[in-house]
Amino acid sequence: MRPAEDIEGTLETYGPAVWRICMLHLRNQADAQDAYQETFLKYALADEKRFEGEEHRKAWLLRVASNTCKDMLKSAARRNVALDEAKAPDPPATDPLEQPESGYREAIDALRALDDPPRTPLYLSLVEGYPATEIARMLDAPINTVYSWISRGKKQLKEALS
Amino acid sequence: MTDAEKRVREAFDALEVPPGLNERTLSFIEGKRESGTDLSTSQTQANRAKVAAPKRSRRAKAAIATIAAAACLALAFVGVGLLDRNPAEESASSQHEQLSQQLAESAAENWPTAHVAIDMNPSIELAVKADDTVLEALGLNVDGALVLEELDEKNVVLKGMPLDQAIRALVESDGFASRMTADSLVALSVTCEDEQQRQRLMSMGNECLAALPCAGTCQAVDPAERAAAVEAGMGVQRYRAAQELMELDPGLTLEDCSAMSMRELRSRIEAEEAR
Repeated sequence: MRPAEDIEGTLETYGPAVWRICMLHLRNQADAQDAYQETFLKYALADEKRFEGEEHRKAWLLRVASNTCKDMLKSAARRNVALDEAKAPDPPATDPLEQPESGYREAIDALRALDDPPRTPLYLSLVEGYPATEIARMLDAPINTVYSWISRGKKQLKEALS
Repeated sequence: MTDAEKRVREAFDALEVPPGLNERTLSFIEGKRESGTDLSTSQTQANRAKVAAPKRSRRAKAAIATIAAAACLALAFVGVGLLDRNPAEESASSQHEQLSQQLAESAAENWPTAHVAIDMNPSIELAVKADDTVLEALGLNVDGALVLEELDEKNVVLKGMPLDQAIRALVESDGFASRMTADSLVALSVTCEDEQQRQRLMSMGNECLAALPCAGTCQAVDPAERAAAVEAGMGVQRYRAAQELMELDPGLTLEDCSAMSMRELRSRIEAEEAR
């Protein structure tokens, strides 16, 4: 297992990006928190994993978080449990999603409502700022397919928020 | 970026890790460490293989499939041949560990540590590994893709070539050579977090440019600027020139500029400035 200092530093540095992608896939904060903890547990256990720079570490974490969330949704579907509709604990008052005037909830829900793909590639492009070439590498997909996903996703997003 | 895209980006930017979650996560992991639990190992290894594997060639995929098939056969043999369950389980576990290790090593070797864009129009980007060899070549625009097709038809394989050799193969291709004149301008943009590798790559790039019959420039660029340029279908230096020209002539769009060569952009900038 990785040393505690490594895990703590990685939580500090990449926690926000991992949290965002958990919230992209999971509506319920409690589920997102489970996925977040599971992602960093996997990181802690993958102690022989070598990273070629910080961008590789971040890309690995985002991919693991995304897969963890998808696995949770699939598992809930198999058990006929509506994961997203489970009772969520009351969010803190400062949660930006709970400030109706911000319009944040509507914007995030619009992206969440897209099929996947294009949801994840569009998220990686729009929010995390990855170029299509990196997304193709992360998702192991042809570059032209990624361009097409992003283009289709942008169109659907525009329609949803217009 | 459209309004809808801005709204989504701002909404996600506003999300913050809930207070106390990092502390709870650390305690959760330390609890696992203390109890010696390894419950997520298989899941972690599955993810590791999926995550770490960047775009693989068909040959690499076939090699991995062969390793996997061999491992499966070995597991089947052990399973059929032994009635005693425990030794078989140990053997299976060891085979699985070995296979996971091979996959993880293969993935680490296939991760780029630098990107070098070569830009005249055509525009091409080379993903480069830590040993300065090319992992992958991507056409940033249609002309770039055509150059790569041309090399492919001539059986020139850029993957595995040292960077300087790959640059020479590109500039000697018909796609580049037929457009190159004495007043052309070839720009190399190097994005690399590791300073030593960046210096090595820039030195290789400058040597290649010095041998060209036209002017050339080689610059280090940061990842954010590279991302924006790649998205626009250009190398960074052409992207910078396009931005400069659009400021001088607001009637032009990025799409207009992406069709211009490096020299054309510079000439138009000079013409606008002279007005």
